[in-house]
Amino acid sequence: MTAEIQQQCLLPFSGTPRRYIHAIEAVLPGRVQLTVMGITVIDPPADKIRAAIITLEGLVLFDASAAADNVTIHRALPPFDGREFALHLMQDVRFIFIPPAGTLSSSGMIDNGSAICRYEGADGMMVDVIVHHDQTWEIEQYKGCGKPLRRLKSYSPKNGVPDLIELSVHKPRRYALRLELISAEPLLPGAAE
Amino acid sequence: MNVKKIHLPVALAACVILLTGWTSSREDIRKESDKITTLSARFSQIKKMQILAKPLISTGSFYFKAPDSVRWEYDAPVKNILLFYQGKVRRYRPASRGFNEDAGAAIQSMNVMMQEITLWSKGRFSESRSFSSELMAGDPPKIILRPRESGLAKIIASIEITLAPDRPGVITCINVNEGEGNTTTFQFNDVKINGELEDSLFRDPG
Repeated sequence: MTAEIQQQCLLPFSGTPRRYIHAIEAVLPGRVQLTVMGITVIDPPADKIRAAIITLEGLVLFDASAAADNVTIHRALPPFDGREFALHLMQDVRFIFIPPAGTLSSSGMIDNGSAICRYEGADGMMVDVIVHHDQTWEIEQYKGCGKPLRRLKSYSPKNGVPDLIELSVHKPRRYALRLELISAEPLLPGAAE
Repeated sequence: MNVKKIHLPVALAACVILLTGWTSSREDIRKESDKITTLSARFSQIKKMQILAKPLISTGSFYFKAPDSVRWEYDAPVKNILLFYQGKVRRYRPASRGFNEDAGAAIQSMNVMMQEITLWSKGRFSESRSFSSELMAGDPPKIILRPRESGLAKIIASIEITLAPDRPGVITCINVNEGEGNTTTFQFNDVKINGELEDSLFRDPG
């Protein structure tokens, strides 16, 4: 039963290289609302990510790669050109697509039958992954007993890929992203270069 | 860099399509541009980037009404409408009830770029503050735009506009080169000139 629950908790994360394209509605500090497209390539076995943000008219606002904790910025226009932005964006991408770092400290089933797993990082970071019967999921990241740092909900999965993901981030800045899936495709290893 | 430049590609595509009728000189451009009161076209937007295995294609319709109203409407993959009307730029996305409007400095900054469009719609390339222009005779004829400022050159390396060789003044293609292998190509078809376009087309869709 425990092994089955732990396997269910990995449902949100593809273990193989994939490319995702999303339409992203962002609500940012200062009442800024922005609609862009996001292109994300993940290669979990190689621990590599590449992420790009383009305007709906095709202009590349941001394009960077990450291997482990090393981030390489290929292109970045204001206001997306700070190193902090790049690091934080890659953390968002990891939170959405990559299994949590750290140790699986506990797992179980909650009253409504959903599977829940808790991962604890060496730095005290905790991530709870909850997978529901309808194959949707929620993921929450927090440190100690404070408010969540990040919270995610998925909707309408098709072949294991949600049509919609809602991400809310609370620290260090509050913002919300609504990711509507345009396409998802498997890739050959090494694609996230 | 000014945030306005973020929206330069669509601004350029919107205004340059108005260059109908030029044959061999800037004077021809001005003369032909003066005859245009409305313009509509279908477009395909083809985005190429290293991160993409195959081009990302968007489609939609473009509308212009003199002196300076523009509607840039995407059907797919992301439905949205970009409007420039009476000096204001707005972007709308369909919502469960009506439309949501993008807000913030990024959209407001487009006002400046749309004002550049009005210069180009009159064929006054040499008066553009952002780009120098070069007319390339040939089959098909082309216009090459290059940024005047080094700051803008880091964002856009060049823009190439292709005119139809068999239909005087009709633009068939605009290629925006950002450098590093990033390009956006706008292909236009079904271009209609001086048809009836209501003002309501350029107002709040909600």
